[in-house]
Amino acid sequence: MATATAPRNDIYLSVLAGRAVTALADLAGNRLAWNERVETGLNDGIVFCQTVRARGDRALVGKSSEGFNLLKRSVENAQEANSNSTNPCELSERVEQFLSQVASRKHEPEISELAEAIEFLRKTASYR
Amino acid sequence: MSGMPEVRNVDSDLERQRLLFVLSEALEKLSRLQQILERQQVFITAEQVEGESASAVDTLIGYLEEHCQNFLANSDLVASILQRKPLNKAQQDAVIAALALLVTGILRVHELLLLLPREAAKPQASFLLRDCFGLRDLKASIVLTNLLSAYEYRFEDVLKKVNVEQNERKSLTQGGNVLCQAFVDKDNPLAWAVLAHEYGHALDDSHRISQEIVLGADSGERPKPEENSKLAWPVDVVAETVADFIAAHVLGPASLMPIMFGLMMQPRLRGVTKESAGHPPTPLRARLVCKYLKSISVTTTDVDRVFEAFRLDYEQKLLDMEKKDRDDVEEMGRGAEKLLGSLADVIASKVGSLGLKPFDEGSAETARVLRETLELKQPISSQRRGSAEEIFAELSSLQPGETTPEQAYRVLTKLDEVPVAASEIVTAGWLYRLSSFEGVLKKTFPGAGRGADIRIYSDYVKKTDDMLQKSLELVAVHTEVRRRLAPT
Repeated sequence: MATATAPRNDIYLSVLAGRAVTALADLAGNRLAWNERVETGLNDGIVFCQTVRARGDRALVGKSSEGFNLLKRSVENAQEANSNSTNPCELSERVEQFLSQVASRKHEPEISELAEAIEFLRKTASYR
Repeated sequence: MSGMPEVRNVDSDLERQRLLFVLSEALEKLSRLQQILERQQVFITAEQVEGESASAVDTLIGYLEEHCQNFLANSDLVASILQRKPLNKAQQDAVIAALALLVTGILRVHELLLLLPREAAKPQASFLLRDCFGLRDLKASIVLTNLLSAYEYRFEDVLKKVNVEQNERKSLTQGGNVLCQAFVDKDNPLAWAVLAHEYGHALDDSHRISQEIVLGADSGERPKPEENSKLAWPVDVVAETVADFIAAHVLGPASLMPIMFGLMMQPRLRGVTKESAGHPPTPLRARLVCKYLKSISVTTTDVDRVFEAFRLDYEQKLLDMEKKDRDDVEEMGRGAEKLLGSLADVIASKVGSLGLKPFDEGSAETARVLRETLELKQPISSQRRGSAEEIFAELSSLQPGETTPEQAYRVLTKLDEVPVAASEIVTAGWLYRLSSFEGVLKKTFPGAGRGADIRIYSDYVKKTDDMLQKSLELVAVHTEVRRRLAPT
């Protein structure tokens, strides 16, 4: 009966995701902002994406991309959003690529891109 | 291109309200968990002769602290929401994500508390139940456990699950019913409303209410799921509703508050599992409880915004689910609605016939007055029989030489303080929380680069807990003193 439901090797992923979210939030306030927190957070986000993908992954299994479609937020359009899915592993690759480009300062992120990456981190790292 | 992105207003007042509810619940849970871990640290350190560090607890403290610091790094954005300043979509999403990840850390640490020495429940929780159910010797033990056991499982269910036979179960519960309470709710009288629901299950079992409603008065033992799932499911669904109505009967709308706040804080809805299948979807439970309260003339006006925010939260989380999981939840909801649509009135009538002291509109009015006293940071255990104006008026009407001593004492007895009901204290506590938490959040997150001071919210949580616990304790003492002094 005394068993913890949180798998131990998973639990630090949410810390990495949290740092990445903060970095993306900083960029959402000012896309030209650059400091140690942003840099570390983006790199943590990259590690997060790589880890969840490398793990197979329990974090991604059963998670379609329906959560990453902005249309899905609207109740009326939910059905259309559900039919518009992308492979979650591809999404993690895409988010990683996006974070890498921002981290290497080759790409100035758009708000919609930041929002999509944040949504990915929330959905993948939050408690189930 | 400018580095400053476009901004937009927070979607709606209700969205903002929902976010603030989740924020307040998360910070409360964080504060309580930190207190628990600090106590564990002291306990383990004291046990170690060599003075080694309490490494396991230190790890949990560190883990929670990392989540806390990650969240606090977004303090200025939180402050903007509190001050109704516009944020762009990514910033709004970042606050929601940061909060969800903080909650993730909190929930994981909470589960791991199962591995540490268990604390004892507060005696005031038993005082609350005794007062609500009008029993001086309420036979129930409260044990602290994880959220799943506290909110979705009963101790009896756990025993059944591990195949403890009926006769062995009896000996294990000789001391009375075992009620499960989440570790994190130990010091929080507002969450103890859940215990009234749990005790409602015990009353349901002893009066065989749900079983007789579904299977008829001549039925034998409750069907085991593996034996007859077609019958076990309706019995379980009706049993949940019986427990909900019993809790609402004795506590009023406060009975559902901790359940709704707890679910709003969860980052996502759980799919239908064996364990949860007997629980009708919470929006249906909330609707039925509101209808039941209306039938006993209790309004929910004071807490309607919680119900509204909860509905919004549930709808959005339902949309966030995988389609198959969502379909399962909706199908189960339709089944439960169909079943309860025809049985809710029968359940209400059975609960009404138990003879429990109801929470009524008078109780709600008393709670509103007590909330004002709580705002003055005073305990709320008793109330004077008459108002100051009433007593002054009656004293003025006394005539020297004409008024008899009996008449004078009749007026003076209105100065007596009588204990209030524990249900009124809990309701007043919720009203106080709902009216005060936003102001405290604003002080906690001042914004403009000033950083958050989480201790402000922790102090508020601790002081409110202390006042409510003290009030419940004083009511128990006061009631006992009056009982002993009362003429036999």
